[in-house]
Amino acid sequence: MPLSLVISRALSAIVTLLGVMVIVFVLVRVVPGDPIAMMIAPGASEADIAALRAHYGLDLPIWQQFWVWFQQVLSGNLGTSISMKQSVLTIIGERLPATIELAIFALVMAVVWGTFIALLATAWRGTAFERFIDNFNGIMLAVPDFIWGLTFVLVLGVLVPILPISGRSDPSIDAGLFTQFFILEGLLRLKFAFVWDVLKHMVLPACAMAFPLAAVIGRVLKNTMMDVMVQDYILLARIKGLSSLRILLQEALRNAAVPALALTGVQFTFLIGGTVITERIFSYPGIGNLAIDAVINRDLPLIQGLVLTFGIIFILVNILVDALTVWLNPRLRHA
Amino acid sequence: MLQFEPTLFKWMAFLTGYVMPKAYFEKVGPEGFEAKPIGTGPYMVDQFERNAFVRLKANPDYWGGKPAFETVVFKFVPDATSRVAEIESGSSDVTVDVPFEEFDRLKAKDGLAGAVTPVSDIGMIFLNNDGPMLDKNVRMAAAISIDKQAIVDKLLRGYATPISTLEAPEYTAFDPSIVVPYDPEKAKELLKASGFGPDNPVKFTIQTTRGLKPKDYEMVQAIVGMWRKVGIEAEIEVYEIAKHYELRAADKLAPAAFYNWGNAIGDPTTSTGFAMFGPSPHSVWNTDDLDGMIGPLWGEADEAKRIDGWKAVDKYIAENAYVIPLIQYQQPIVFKKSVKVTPNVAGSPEPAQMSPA
Repeated sequence: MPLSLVISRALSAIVTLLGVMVIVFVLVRVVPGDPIAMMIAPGASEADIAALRAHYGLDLPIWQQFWVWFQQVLSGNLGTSISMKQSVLTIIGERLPATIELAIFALVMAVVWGTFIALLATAWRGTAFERFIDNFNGIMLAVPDFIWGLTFVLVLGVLVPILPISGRSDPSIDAGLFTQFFILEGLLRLKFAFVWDVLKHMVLPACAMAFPLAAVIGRVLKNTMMDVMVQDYILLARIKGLSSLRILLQEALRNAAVPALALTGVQFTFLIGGTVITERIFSYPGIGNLAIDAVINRDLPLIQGLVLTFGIIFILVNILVDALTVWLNPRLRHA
Repeated sequence: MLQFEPTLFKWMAFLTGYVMPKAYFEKVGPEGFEAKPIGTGPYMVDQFERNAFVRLKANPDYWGGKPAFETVVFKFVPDATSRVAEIESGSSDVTVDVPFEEFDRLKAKDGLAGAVTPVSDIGMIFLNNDGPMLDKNVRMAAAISIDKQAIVDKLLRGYATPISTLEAPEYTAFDPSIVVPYDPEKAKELLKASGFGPDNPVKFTIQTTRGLKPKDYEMVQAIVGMWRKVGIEAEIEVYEIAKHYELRAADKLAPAAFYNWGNAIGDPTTSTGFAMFGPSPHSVWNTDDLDGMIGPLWGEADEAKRIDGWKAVDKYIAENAYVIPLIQYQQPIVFKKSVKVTPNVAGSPEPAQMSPA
């Protein structure tokens, strides 16, 4: 990637983050609900309430509050949560790994499943089986993630209870980990039984998040592969005597991967947003679940910290997808 | 001592009063204590994953004997539907606060049982001393035209108790002789005396949450329907609870606002007191007559006189309809038949009150 492009992307990221900071800061202050009013003790006097407001800096004009918060953020301090009385950075740091692992697991499931159905539909193109897959894909896409979540809870949690429906791990297991990256640290420290338990807890929420994304990936990949399959070089490959499977995997899939990748990147950001509802349904202790509590409690510093975290994730994912797209497409490398 | 506080010992016996290890607390500080607390109860904190679970283990040195379970796990499941799934799938042994429809279904299932207990939480309608509520006839008509028993029977499946004051039957100052009757005909007469009727209704807004408490919005809908029949046309405004607190602190609630009020110690100061005393940041009705009655009771040293005083306040409030108490909530608990559960009025079932059946 040329240096000018890197600088341009970095500047764009900074401007985006600044915009996110301003918008969220103003929005959480104009929506109804005063966090201090929710904390007033029964016998509190006017002076007590004013002191509480001053303690959280909410007595200052909004632009001064923003300036204080902006300076804090630049020094790596996201403030103190009003409802939990703890550093926002610490709280998010405890929960973010759970969401990252869940989102990556869901992404892997979506990519694998989406690719699989695209390959099947392309291999059986023009048949009733292709139409069946298209219809199935349509259902996966049309049903929102939280409906999938509730359906999985009912079917695989209650009717045929084969998978856990709440939490991140079995509370009776004491894994003794140092970080909140349960899968990563569990694998590195060879705690396979614990990792297996964590994966079982992630399957249903990850499926709920992955289904709509898998449908999108499957549809785009299939359409692109259909276009590729009528190209001259595919005909040439056939004449050379390459097997259908090899043509599908080596030629069609590889050439169709770039547009699907760009789309996956965009959709992944929506998937992260989807963690808010899905984590709630499955009582999964990530930042999505935390965000709901933060909004209910009007915990302004925590809401701001969470939105900033979501913003940073979106920007990083987009940069990563851009880099991967350039890497996979030689023409863009020299653009 | 700076001032006499008659409820001090009640508070000490409740959540705010527990024995703390001074040396340990001073050593680790508030955050360290929160991470690894030490208490004197039957169970000790073994592991805590924020918003996931807290695992307790039996305290071998507990003064009250050996606890019933070696390990107790509290799973944090904020979504009611997910709590239903937890108990139905067998993933949890006990759950609380499921919808009443689900409660009736679950307790009839093999292997499950249910208990309902009145808890220290009531549903009420705050009236603001403003606009149409300054007319006593309007307030009284609004209060006596609500068929609370019908609301309990039809909306809450019988799982609530109609109340006439802000004191639930378990509270210290509950007085069964104070009854606000259901009398729609009388309500019509009162409204007629003020120039209102079904063809010329008095109009105001009623605010409510939706889904915060069981059937909150539905209850207000039913009440508005009952009011319409006697000559009150109320427009429903739905808001979030955070907005309610903001408006209440600023004394800007609508003429009527649905709310639920808990009472941690069952004392009248924490029900009628903080809800109705003008200078309290939580009160909505602010008039000198009522404040004049309540004021001296805060520091009344004679307990019998203090409680009688609060009962008189409750009677005066009922006679003037300064607030509309509706129901006392009941908490549904669903549990496996392999567990014996003793519910409590605090609404927080404790492992110390459970044992293998």
